[in-house]
Amino acid sequence: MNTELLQRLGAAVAPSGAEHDVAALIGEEIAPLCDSISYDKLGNLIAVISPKRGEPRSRIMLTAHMDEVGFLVKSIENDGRVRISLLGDISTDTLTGRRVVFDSGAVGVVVTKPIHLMSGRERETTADRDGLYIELGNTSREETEDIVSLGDYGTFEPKFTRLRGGYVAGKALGGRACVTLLIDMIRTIREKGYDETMSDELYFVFTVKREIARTYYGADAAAFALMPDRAIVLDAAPSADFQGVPRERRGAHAGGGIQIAPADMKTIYDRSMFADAVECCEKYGIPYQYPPTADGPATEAQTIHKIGAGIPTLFLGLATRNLRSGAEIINERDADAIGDLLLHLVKKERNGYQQCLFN
Amino acid sequence: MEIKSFLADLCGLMSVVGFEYRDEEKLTALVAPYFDEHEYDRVGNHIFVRRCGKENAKRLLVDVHYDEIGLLVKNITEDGHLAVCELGGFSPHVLPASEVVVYGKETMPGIVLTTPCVLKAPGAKNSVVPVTDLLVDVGLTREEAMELTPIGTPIGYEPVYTELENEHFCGKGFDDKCLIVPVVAAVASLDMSELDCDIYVSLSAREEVFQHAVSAAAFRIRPDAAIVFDVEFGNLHGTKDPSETEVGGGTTLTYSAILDRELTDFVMETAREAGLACQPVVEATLTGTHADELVFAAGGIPTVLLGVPICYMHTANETLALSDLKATAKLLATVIRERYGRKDG
Repeated sequence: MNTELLQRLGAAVAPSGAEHDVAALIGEEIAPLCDSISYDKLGNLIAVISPKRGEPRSRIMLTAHMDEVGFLVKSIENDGRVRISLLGDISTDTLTGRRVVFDSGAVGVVVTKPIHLMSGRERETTADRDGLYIELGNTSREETEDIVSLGDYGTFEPKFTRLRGGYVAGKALGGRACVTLLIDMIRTIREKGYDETMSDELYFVFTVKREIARTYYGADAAAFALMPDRAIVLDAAPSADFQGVPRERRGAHAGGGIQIAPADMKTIYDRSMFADAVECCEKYGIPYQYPPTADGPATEAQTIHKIGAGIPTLFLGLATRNLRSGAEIINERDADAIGDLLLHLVKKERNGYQQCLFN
Repeated sequence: MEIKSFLADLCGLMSVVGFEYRDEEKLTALVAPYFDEHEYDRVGNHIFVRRCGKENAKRLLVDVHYDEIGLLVKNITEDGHLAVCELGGFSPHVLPASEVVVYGKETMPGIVLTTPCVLKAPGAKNSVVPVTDLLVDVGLTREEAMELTPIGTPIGYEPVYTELENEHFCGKGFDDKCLIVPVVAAVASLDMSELDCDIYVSLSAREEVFQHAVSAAAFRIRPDAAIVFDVEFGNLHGTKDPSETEVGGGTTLTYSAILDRELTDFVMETAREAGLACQPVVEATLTGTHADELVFAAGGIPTVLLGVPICYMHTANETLALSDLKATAKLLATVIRERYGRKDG
């Protein structure tokens, strides 16, 4: 995986509905490489690579979401602080006492009481989602209104930390790594000339508004408009693979390979695509893992696989610790595994896996 | 002295309580140029001295503790994650998913692990994980971690300093190292030939867990009076909690039964005459600072307690107003001149 690109994409502030900055970065990367790129009405970025020879046999949609969790400015107090409304499934203890950024560039700190002044009850429960304030250093509403407006977006301060063992950490890294993998894939297809021999038309969809839970607006609209024959969804797979968490709640294991799920809470994945992906991993020695339980968290597939007359869908998960925090942790080897698998799936091989999956 | 970089350089030092010695040389290099003498004592206190050159001069002790809270590796899990215990009081609300620095055989970044909401048990979404159950991920296997970050390795907040609006700064370690800035600025600004006292600035160790290292400094210096500097609970928006003072509202001055009232009143009066803001704080008895030790150290020392307010104490984003540091430097210099100005002409 191109970690330099990942770092740049991770630094973009793009909570659901404010994806334009990251979309522009992605567009710059892929525009010269694709047959066409376009935005749909919702803001999904859709890039197409067609086979160079012959009519495409089928049309495959690959998705990765561009957006991230964050917050919106709910009100500006008379004393200059900002009240926020959380966007996405954020645990408030990952936010209190931390630096955040607004899309205007302003920087603030999420207010928290010092431990010395907390009551016993306050020490035991996390801050209320609706009771969070951001401190900007101002003492009046007017000063704050100069730099922040109602409805402005914000998120965790961008940060990119390289840990040992191939792990990297930063805000929004799980999702942005999936975006990076699709961009890498586009580049490799062009550089290696896979488009000369591949027989399927590929639609790379960088979706919006995935973090608005349970709806997946972006993926829904794109799947409806494109009506592909098959879809592959890339996304972060939540991970709590550490001591103290019961086995059934640990999710994916970071560093343990691609998470390929037969099913989750909202989707039963296409059996043949699932089987082919697993077989391909086995054949090429690509590390993969099953989720520890079949009722894991839902993905964009829950929407996509029900569109139209039904779209067979495969999910490839990138194990992500601290999901939806300012320091999501992923392992580069897991990301590279997903990248490898994707390429094997598009390479034309008469007796290989590509035929099974893309026929 | 460029105040902003001096502040960041000082507060960014590794000084997890009990491990203050790690950045001993850097601290000395930052502060020693402003003093005549420097001594590093057995318990980790740095004592910097400016002398007036007079025989049997009075001795004034100015104390700022330079340690800060941190974590200590207490165990390494099968997965290579670091289980920790606290050195000083942490709020469990601020550690999950935060960046830390692990000062092992090699210094390396770490991330505190947290369970994402989607994997939490129903009903456990709002519960806080005690600090002693938190794990730090450095990306090492158990074997590697045993080698590079063995049990007993200290962990600190990441030193990142950000300027907010109106010259407010946030970052780690302002408790209590931010106060080294006004103390050094004030003492460096004095013309010692006009004074009747030697000034001993003790940058003291181990406040966050024991509070008694400063007694060793006092025992050796035998000061006639002590001025202790420690941060107060601050609020940027006026006083909301009775224990809070206003960030940007000027120096804090504590009234307490254990402190020397004459000296406290003198500081308040001096501030008033000089037109410098001074915010009173009241603690009936113990103050939770080095003052509690010094009042009966070395046979008893008349002690006064000053400070500046900071928000979000003991987090990685303690927040202060630069104006408070500047005002405090002026006040300390004025107090010393008024109190110890040469009387014999």
